[in-house]
Amino acid sequence: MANAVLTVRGVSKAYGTIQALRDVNLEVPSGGIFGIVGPNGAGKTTLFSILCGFLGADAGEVLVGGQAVRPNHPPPGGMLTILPQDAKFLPSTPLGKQLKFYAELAGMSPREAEKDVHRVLEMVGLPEVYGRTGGTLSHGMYKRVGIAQAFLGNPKVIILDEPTAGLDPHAAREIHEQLRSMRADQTVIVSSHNLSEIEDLCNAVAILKQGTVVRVSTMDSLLQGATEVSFRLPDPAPDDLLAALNALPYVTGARWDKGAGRLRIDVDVSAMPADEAGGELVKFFVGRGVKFMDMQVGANLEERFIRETR
Amino acid sequence: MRNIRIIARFEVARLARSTGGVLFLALATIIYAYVALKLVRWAAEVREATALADADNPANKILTGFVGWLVDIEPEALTKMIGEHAPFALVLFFVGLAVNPLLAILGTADQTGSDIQTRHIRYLLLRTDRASLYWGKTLGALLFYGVSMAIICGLIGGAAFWGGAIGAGDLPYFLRVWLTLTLFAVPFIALNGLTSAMTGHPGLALVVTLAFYMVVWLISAIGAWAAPQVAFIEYLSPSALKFDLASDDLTVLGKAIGHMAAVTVVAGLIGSTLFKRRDV
Repeated sequence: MANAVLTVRGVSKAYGTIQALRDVNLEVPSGGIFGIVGPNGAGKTTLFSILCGFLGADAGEVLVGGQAVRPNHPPPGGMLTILPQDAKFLPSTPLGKQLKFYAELAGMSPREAEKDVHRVLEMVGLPEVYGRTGGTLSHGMYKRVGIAQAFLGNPKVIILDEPTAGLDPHAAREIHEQLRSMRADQTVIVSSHNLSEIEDLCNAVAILKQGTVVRVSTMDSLLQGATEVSFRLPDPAPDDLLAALNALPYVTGARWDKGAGRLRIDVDVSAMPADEAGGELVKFFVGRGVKFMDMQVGANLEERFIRETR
Repeated sequence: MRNIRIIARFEVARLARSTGGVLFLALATIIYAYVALKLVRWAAEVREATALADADNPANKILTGFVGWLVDIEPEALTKMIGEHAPFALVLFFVGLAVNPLLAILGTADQTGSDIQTRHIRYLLLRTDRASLYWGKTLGALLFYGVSMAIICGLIGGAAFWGGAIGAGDLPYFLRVWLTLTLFAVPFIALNGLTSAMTGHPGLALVVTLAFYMVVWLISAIGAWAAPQVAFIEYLSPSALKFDLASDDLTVLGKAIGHMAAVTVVAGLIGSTLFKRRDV
């Protein structure tokens, strides 16, 4: 990939007998939001730690901005920042002073650092925490200060490991808005267990399973190629409805997915593309007075994720 | 160098606010205040003892012999030192040299340890290189210790001067006491840096440094009875020649400084290499 801001080539890492990553290859394009998803223990945090030079890889290499990253060779200054999943701030030092310290280390003058600290605290909606210590904040506020530090100095690449875990919906939505309003030349890499969040935010996604990348795809292509239209119904679909659907010329099968609470309809895409079939099916339901809460063309990320990582 | 300076400055404030730093300051204040109060009360007796130092008095010979054995200085040299320096300052110097290892270990144990343990270090390592972080923290610990000792020596020296225990001519000697105690902390700070990088935990770093100090002392002290050559193990400890730092003989003093410098360089190099390579 010509415009890759981050390249991972053949990276493997083991903790004793546990193989955390196996021959991981990945290229993250410059600009936009890139999601990394995977079940617990898939190796997401280990991969992030290697990208940042916190951990050494047993094999392979990582390039950030074209420069190799290893434990004693961090990425170029101002290039990469991270919201680590489990890092803590100093307990006795005011948070504003800590952020100013980070900004000065990144190369800013004390005056610039002070200004930038106020900017990022405003950005996450917490200007009042400048003089407070970490112990006086709620979990959500603490997390938002962590996100604020990642935006100090406007780095080119920002890694956010579970940025909205533990946040209430309002705070999570504010974070999403911040991420969407980023500068075009910034790249954010996000991991989350909230797959609808990833689907909503990201341009592209990589799925990790047992330390291996099983799929890298743009969000559009991941969700395209659909052969299915599904509807969320308030009640299970009755048999007569299923029979009527199966009689439609562009439908190859209809079934009630009890676990997901959805009516799934397989479409013969040679007869009609799935998105057009979706429109016809809406008309069909309205005509029969069938109530539904939403319609989805193709599998969503969660469904794809479950298929890929099963 | 820029980042080493920034880290060192931040580190002084961090240590002063940390639990370990506050405990160290409290302990150092209690020890030195206690000793200073005792010395002020004994000032008159100490002055008499000074007068006795010039006399060919058997009691004085016993006294200087005993103190000389405690601080590993020949009685003749000690008698000369007592004649040249204010007893108050000299006793304070010896007490300082005796307690400095413990205080330096306590006050500077947490260098990279808590940052690694809490992963706070992950906020730092994308903004600075590991060498700057390691040496910045080392320098910060030294500055913290030096400032603490400056305040303590300044307060005691001022109180002793205004209380009449020392004269104006003795004040420069307090400067030497402060400088020596601060420099004597350097090898312990280097050892703490090594154990911090090795354990990645502030409490463990403290325990490992103290254990190393005690084990070396015990092996050299007990082992020397069984086999005299074992006594050389003592040179692994920065304290091996500590009372020589009070000597006015430049050869003796130079040897002691050289030994401390060697321990510092070895511990510093091992510690920084470990820190550069370890996972965080």
